[in-house]
Amino acid sequence: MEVRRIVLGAGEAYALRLAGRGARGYVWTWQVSGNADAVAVRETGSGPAARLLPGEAVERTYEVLGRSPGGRARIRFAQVRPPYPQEAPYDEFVLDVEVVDAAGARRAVTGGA
Amino acid sequence: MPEESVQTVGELRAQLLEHGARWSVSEHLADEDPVPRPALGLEPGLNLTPAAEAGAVDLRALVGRESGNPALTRRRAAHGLLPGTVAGPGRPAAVDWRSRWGWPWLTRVKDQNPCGSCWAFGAAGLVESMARIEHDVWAPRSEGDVHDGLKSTCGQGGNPETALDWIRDNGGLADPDCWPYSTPPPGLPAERRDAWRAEYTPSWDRSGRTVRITDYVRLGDVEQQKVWLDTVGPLTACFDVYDDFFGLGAGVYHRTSDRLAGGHCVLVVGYDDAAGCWLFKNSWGTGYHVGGYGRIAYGEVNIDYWAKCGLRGTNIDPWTKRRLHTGSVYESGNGRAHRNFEMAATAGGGRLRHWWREGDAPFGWARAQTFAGDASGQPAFTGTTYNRNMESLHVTTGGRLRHWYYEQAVGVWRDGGAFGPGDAAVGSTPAFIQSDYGKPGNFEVVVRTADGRLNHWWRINGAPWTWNDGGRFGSGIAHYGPALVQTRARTLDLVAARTDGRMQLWWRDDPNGFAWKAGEVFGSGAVSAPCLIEGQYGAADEDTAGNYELCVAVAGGRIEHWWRGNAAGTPWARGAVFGHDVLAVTGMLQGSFGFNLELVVLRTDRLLQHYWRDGAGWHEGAVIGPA
Repeated sequence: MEVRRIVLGAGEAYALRLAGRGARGYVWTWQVSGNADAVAVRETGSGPAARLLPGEAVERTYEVLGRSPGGRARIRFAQVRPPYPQEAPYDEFVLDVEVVDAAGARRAVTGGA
Repeated sequence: MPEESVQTVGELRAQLLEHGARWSVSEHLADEDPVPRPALGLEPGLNLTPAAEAGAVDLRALVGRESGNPALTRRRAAHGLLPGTVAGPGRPAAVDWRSRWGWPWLTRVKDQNPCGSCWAFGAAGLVESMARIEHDVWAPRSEGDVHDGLKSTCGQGGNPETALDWIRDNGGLADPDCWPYSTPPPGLPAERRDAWRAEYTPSWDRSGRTVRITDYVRLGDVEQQKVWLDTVGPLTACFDVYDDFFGLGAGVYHRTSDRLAGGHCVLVVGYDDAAGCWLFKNSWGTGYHVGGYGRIAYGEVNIDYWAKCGLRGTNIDPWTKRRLHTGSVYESGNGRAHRNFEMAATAGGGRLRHWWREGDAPFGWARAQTFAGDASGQPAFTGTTYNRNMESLHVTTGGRLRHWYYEQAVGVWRDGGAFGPGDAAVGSTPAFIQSDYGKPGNFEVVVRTADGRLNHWWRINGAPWTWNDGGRFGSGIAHYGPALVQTRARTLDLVAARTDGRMQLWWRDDPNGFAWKAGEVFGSGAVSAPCLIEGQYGAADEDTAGNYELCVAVAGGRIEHWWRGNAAGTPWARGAVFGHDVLAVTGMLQGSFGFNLELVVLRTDRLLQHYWRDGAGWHEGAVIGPA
């Protein structure tokens, strides 16, 4: 499982691209822990349109927005099949976010899978 | 399908820079070069036919023949598809292949998880359902056979037309025990799962365990698709999946989301004009929609943009039918309709003759070659996974057993040699089946011996091809013949007639030393060897055992039919008494004719005769010839 650490300024957005496997019944879900109000997460749609065969993965894009300076939040993305909650996720991704003043914003990837 | 976002290497380099990517483009590629797109085994979009391109087809030419299923024949007549018929008031407002005419026609809902193999599941579902509809048999197929045969990775998309092309061109679609559908091993990291691929190594008797197909039909016209569903069977279909589709439960799906999640393929198994929708069988397990089945509105998410594929003319393998026949007759895949009967019978002077019955009207019996020279009684006759060879086994005049086989590849009968006890009951018929021990499965034989016992023999189907004595069991056996079945629990069941005229079931307890044990006693007055099959009645799905069907000649030249409900636990019950001047029942099968039971009997005048049972009862059929 990949763990990525980023630093966002308040009001700064971070774009995240994940492999969507909707043709197999999978959806990405996420949970925010820590200072949940420090960030906002939303899906911004499918990735660049491509010629796809049935069953192939489609890139999905999500936006993480820094909101409250000084906050730290952990966002856990899990790719699951909703009717089967007992199943382990197909894929997981964790984003640790530190939100700073906009002036001090810098993005840093400090962790990997 | 949408366009590629990046066309040239220069564009890709700019994109990687913009995204802060941790990888780069190969140095040998110039900015003006196109981005390399190596073939993944399937060319995107190349083999998925738009409906407009498929257009309308000539349904009369494609399906204008009687089906083995009389209900389906009536539907074709109602549409004016059969010669001499005129279209009636129109097709029904709804069709649902989950249950038609009181029978189930679809295999269980499966789960492709986690691979992008919907296209293989759609194609396999089509083959399974058409095997069931055309031949009244459950024929579970392996999606892995076509998926891995195409060398597809777990994450690789595809389409049903490519899958059906491969099935057609590679000898059919095998059963899961020949080669299973498999998924990445547990613990493989997610980022490596999509690239994982199973190395395709099916069992070497694959040619004897595939449902073969001829060409499939691309249907582009929606009205014709509905007629096909009514008169032939299900169709594959592909469509776009949007995010809201995952929440589809009951009701008819209409798109409410703009977020595309991918392309998907399913099996359309019906329609409902009142609701304006297709009924489909998905391959995401039973947790989605309603037990794995959903409804999608006509024309939604491009479901009618692509041609739907239908199939007819399936050719069932002998392995799939192995429990559906016994004794001297079985239904092969030969003939135009792939439902010829094949029979062997004595021909005088110790010779045996191969007979066959064409699977179309007027269903005439024809003589084929003779073989052997030391047969003392009627042979057991079957097809096996050895390239669908015909195999014959008889008791010799010297009390041994002799095996003959017809080598399909060269069209020649070959002597497989003699083996066995030396005191096998002369004039009796041995029981002869192929079990699922090993691949190819072992041959299992049980024969009555002169001391009134039963003797089991078996052959491991690999070098050195020797027969082994499995030992004797029972006592006081008066008649025994074609009455041996391998159960779904892999044990062997048989029924023999005792000296007191009653019948008794014997079973081999495989988990406990392969010991034969006596079971229930039933009936009375048996004067010949019973014939026993596991039929399709009671088999609610491909995993449920059907009823035992047994026919035996009794005093007065009559035949008694007995049955036992294996799934429901129903005890043996006599179903009917019929026939006349019958000496013995030599063979029995349940074939492609509306779940009818078919018998071949030896009469007191030494003529062979066909009897059959349909919904109206037992009927006398053709007198075939001398034996």
